[in-house]
Amino acid sequence: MASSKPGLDTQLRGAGPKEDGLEKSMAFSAVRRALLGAQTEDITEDAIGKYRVLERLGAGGMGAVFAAWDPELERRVALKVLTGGREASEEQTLIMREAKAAAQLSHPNVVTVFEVGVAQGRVFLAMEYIRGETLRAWAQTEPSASDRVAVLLAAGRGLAAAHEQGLVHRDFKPDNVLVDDKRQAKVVDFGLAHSTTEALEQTSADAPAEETRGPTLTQTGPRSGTPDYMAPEQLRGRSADARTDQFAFAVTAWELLCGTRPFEDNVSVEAPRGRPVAGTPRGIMPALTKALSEDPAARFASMQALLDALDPAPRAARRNRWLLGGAAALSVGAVAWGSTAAAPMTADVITPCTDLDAQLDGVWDTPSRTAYAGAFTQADPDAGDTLWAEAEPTLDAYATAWVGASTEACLATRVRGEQSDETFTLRTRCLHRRLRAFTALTSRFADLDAAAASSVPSVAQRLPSLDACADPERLAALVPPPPDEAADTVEQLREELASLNASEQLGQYKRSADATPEVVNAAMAVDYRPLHAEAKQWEGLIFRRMGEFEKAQASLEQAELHAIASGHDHLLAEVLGLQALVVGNNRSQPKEGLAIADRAQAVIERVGGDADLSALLAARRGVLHRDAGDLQQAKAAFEDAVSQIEAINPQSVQLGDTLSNLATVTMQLGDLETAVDLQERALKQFETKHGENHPAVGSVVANRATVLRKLGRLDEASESFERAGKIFTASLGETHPNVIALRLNRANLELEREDYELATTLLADVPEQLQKALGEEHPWVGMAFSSRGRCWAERGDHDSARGDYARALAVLEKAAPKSVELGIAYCQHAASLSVLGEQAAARAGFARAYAMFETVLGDELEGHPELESCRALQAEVASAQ
Amino acid sequence: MSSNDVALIEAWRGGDVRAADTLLRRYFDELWRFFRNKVDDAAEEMIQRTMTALLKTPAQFRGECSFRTYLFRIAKSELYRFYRERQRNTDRVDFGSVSVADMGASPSSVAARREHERALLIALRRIPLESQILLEWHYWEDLTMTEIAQALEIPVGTAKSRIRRARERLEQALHDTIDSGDQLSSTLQNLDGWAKQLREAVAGG
Repeated sequence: MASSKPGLDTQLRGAGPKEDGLEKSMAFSAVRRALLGAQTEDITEDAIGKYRVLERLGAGGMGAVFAAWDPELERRVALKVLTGGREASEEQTLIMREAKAAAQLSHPNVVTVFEVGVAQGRVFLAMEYIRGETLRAWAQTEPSASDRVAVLLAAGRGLAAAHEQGLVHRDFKPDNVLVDDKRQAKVVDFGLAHSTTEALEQTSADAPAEETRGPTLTQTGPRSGTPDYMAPEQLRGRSADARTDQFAFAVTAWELLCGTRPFEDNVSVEAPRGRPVAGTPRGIMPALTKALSEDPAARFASMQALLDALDPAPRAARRNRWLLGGAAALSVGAVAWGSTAAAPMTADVITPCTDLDAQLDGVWDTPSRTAYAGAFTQADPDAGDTLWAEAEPTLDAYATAWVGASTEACLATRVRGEQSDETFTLRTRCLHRRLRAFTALTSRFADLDAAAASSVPSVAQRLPSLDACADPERLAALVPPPPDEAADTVEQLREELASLNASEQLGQYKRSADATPEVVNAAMAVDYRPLHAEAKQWEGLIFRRMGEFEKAQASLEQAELHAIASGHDHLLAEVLGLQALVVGNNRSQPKEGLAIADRAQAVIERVGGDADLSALLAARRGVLHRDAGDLQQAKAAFEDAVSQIEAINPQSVQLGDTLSNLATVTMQLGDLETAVDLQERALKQFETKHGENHPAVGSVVANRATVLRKLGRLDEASESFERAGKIFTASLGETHPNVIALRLNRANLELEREDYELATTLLADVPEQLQKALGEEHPWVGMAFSSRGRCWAERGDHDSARGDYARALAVLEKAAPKSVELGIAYCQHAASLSVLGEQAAARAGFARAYAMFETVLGDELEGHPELESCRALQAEVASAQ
Repeated sequence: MSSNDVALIEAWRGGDVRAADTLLRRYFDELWRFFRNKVDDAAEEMIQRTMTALLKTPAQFRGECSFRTYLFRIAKSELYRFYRERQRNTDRVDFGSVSVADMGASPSSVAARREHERALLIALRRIPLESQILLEWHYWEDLTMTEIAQALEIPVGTAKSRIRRARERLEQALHDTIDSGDQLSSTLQNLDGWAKQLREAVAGG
């Protein structure tokens, strides 16, 4: 590249202002919203173009809608003023082109666009003024099934008419259908969501809560708003066509008829879930199912073809014809339906495997589901309904799948005779364990609190896999059942363990811990060794949760012995995996922990592999490598874990955990940019999977606080620490080591803000408390002493500082002999010594600090912030001499 | 124009959000360009801070320079303040010698452009902040020497010689960037010992 002066001039000018459209306009809206708050939507001139603004009707991410007067034609219009792209941006040009195309369309089921224009730099659309409400709002009025179908068909005809003109809607959803006071449906906002990928970006950055005033007339929504109605191919970034509209229409129809959307997300589409309201004509749901096919080619050829399949009027006519034709014609009709229906409709044959759903009586039937719904509302009057609406389809799918799997197991032996009685017994036992977990969870609904309710949707997704019960290797690894005389007791205790486990998963740690000793004692009294292993595993897990790590280790070691003795191999692998973490991480013996992890891996291999366990183990190795001071290896292990988990299930909660840990290591390696990205991914994962107050969220918030702090966003960091502190205190109590450690972290933040008084107050007896909770030689203890030393030093009391630093060194040299933290302690200790006039000792201390940084950081040494701070500190005390 | 801008600020102070809106629309582009290549993800926040500062200190502008120049002066002060906040541990940051790259803002977020432009943008971030600002105002915003001097509150002669120096630095940085061929290591000059993270995360159950 040339770097002569004229060349540089030209390049400099050339590299300058570039229109970075979307990013800039999002920044613009963000600043505008931050500066002007909710008032932004009120900003509009009295007149827009030729229209006189009468009243504001509503607002959303895409813009505001006003009632306005057209003085030329003397009529009332709805005026949508789009925000976002300013001036004549490409984005605006695109929107205008689409909107103008839509304005060509005239159909009774499409809102007519009169004019598209630009005024005051903003695109506006003047539209037919509709007196009515959105389809979403209309559905709340509990219309009859036949009214629902009629309105859907009308909206569908609007879509079909647009498709015939070559127009695609791209963002069909209940909010984009208006139902007027004559119950006429009209589709609005054709083509305004002009690009899928952009639309999704827009959603994340620009999705304020929808807000409307009075009866909705013309609804505004975020640009292409939620992905809930988008077809899978559209979500994957491919361009939208008529078949993506067909999919969106079917999701909308499904939601209107069943009350829930068919899929949890539309990325990978399975069998749609939900039951239609009573009175929905048969045949509607199979047709919608076909329109909901993941492969666009498997859907109907056109919107019109879907409407033909849905429309009960022509079908009634057909049925009449068949009736006239007699029985033969009827069977033709049935076959025709069979081809589109999800399940073939065969006549009932009496078989021995039909009543397996009876096992769900009182657990998952209509009365119990109604009761659960009530419990959610009671637990959280604000969010309970939403949470239940989120959890119910998952649970229902699980229950249905359970009945399906049980029926299949039964049929294979009893009817088809292709499976031995032994296998049948194993499958049944395996399925029985699954049902136990399901029942344990649902029975907890009776006394939910808000925090527990909020985690139900994610816990429901983590119910044990039913597929495993059809896997011969897994079945072969099942331990033999208890002797008959103990069977009932064992079953009862297993149920109680499952119930404790459900409580723990819902975040009710203390309650679960309190009930543990009684159950474990009873289990140990039964003469059935597999149960001993299970009980001790549980005990170890809950001890760990409550921060009693030494006890946790002891329990897990016993569990290991019982598992080996009884051939409980899967459990053994799980026990070793957890033991590795407790020993290596919680008890700070990472080398030993890694050795246990190797044993766990070997057991996993012996049982023929287990993707879930193996991914979990990779993540734990990451933690242990980090604790051993090997950040590079830790990073590699976490990356390995992330890719394993993504391969199993990209929605998994574990993904958030692992991303969060990867972020932390990345941060410690000094790459803050990447760390923030990873943190953001982790948080997103968590906030969708857990409720606000779930303890697991606390960890992520705490980690996030750390990165924010490193980035100098101190106020946000302080806020995050406070939030994390509240969450942890609520679930763990004041004296839990993590709660104390949080105080330490906050104190360190205040140190950075140079509020030494507050830092001192926060730290008070933190080192001693940590010592009590974690033992003499835990790294946290050393770091707490180190921080308190820093407080003294900053306040000029170098004598006290020296004392705390010395204590810090004593702990860290044993607990974390290869660590950045030890390097920092050496450095600060040396600085205090220097101020106190002990120059020789100070020099030796600084030398030790630099040697430590070099050992730990390796390639990352030069420019590492801790090294730089230490150099600065040394220079500072030297110049003070 | 400038008296009009002052009137808008006054109106905004009186609660007229439409005035604020107009003002923001009028100057958003300038502020966006100014902060984008300097603070990574904090550009929005910085624009907001600058606008708020404008609201809080209306009396300071007495028409001795163009309103735009005045706005740039405020933007610059807010930027310096931002860096000082990030640099709590350093008593005083000398913006004549510290570059954006030194301050922990990494170049990774620079919008991908043609390779040599990228190199140029990266080089801009490696030279001292004040030099970067001088060059950008001169080349991108077409501020005159007088305006630059007013915005930086330095004599015109000084501004001229600093621009010259800034160009030399940029060329040097450009050479270095091309020679080393890769991105810079982020050097956030921070901070005291940091507790290891809570890592409840890899849960047992």
